[in-house]
Amino acid sequence: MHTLFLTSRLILSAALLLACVTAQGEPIVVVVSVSSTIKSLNKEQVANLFLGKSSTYPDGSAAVPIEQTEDTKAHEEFHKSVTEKSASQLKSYWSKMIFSGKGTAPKEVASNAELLKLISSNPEMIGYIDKNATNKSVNVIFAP
Amino acid sequence: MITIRLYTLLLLSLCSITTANALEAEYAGMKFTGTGFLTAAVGKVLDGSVHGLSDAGYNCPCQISDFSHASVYDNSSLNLAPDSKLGLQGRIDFTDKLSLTSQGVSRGSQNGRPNLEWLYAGYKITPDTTIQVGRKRLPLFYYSETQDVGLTHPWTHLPQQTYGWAVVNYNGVNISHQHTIGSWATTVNAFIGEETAINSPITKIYAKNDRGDDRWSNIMGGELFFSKGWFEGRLMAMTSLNQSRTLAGSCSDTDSCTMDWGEKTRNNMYGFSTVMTPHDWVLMTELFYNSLGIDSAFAASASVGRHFGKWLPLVSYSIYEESIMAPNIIDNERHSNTSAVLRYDLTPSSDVKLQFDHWISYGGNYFPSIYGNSNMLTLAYDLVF
Repeated sequence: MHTLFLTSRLILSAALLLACVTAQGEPIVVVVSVSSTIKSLNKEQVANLFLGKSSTYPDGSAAVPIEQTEDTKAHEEFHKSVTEKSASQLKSYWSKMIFSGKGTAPKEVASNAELLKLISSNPEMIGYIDKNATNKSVNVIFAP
Repeated sequence: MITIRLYTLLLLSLCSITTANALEAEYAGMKFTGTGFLTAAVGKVLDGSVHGLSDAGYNCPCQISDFSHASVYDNSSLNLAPDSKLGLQGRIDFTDKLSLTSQGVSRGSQNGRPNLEWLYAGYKITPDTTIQVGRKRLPLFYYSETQDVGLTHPWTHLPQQTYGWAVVNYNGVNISHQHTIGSWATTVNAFIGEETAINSPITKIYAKNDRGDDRWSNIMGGELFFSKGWFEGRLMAMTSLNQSRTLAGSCSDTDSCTMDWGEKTRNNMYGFSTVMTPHDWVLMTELFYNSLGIDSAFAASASVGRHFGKWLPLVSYSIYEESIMAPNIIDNERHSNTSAVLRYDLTPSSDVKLQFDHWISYGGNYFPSIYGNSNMLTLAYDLVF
């Protein structure tokens, strides 16, 4: 009976640990096409692009941010660590921009694969993906 | 009573929509986007120092929730109209650079009459410079342009002492430019235009049955936003030539009355706002100064709150003080409001808010006699779609 109790506690602890790791999500990285001249950005510069406060890279070239859809883990992870806005705060922010004529929300894609396909062929675009989903078609320019 | 029941049914039906998305369609290379917003609000003035029919024409105890749109909660049971509104926005992107946007709003305070409040064409001259031509909201304060979109701010209605002017829209041109300096993001917006507000709702605040017209010509102004991380600041300056006329009772709302406009008076307005959101805290301030001939006014508001997950409790204090530089003036309009609001985000696109307002009128006899002091409770549901 004692062994069974210890085993149950062990399984429960492992399950909680696994749930905790899963909840934290995969680390994400910010990427641009390998053909882009942009080599690195800091957190504020990335946040400014994804909040529509800036439309160009530091060298003056046009920047086109690409979002992942709200239901993806990458979206949640990116906004928690870079723009520091919850889903509600982000919706409130973009509603202010859209209904005041100050901007439109970035184009959205539904997966890492779709984002890689889009960004790899367009040097103006910038997006974020799970760290382990990167390939040779993109350069990592910021890691939170 | 039937009207109220139908209104309640409509609002409850709309409230049942908890998730909604923008409507998007593409045709011949053009993109159409349809969006909208709703605020369904109900409120009651709990008590106050003025009782019965006031000289302004309202059943008191009563409290103003929005000067600009004549939104007044009175003593007639639960009020549904003052803060409720429905807005629809359509945008056509003809190309990546050229777009046309329109926004119509139906307000409970204006008997639900739809009003086209925005209609402008936008053209992106460069990736960070945009010119817009047409009818827009006059950007006097931080939340002026989205004052109708409840989801964008924490309150059931914006602080009454600051957001309360005769003219809220203008016809004209604005050009905005974004620029980054290191990690700071800045946006400069310059605007010119004019506005003639016939039967301006703000007159109804002072005399429910009178008609007032306001004309602001030669409007010229600019605003500067600067932000980094959780800090955002805003400076605004504007000048115009103002005229107004009040037609007491003798002129109906739809008549083209022939009373002369008064002399043009130079109007200068200056504003400074900050919004800070370190960690889960929310700290907001707005300062505003206006001079109009011998009349000047100071308005300010300050708020502090903190996010607890989906909850946001927030307290605010706002004040309005008019100073008329003439001998024997004892009735300067002066009042303050302290509010406490609790917001809960139902979904990213919707929220509910419960707000308590404690209003104090002072500065002579007139304003204390028509609105006095009062306490009010309002409940609002906001949705964007």
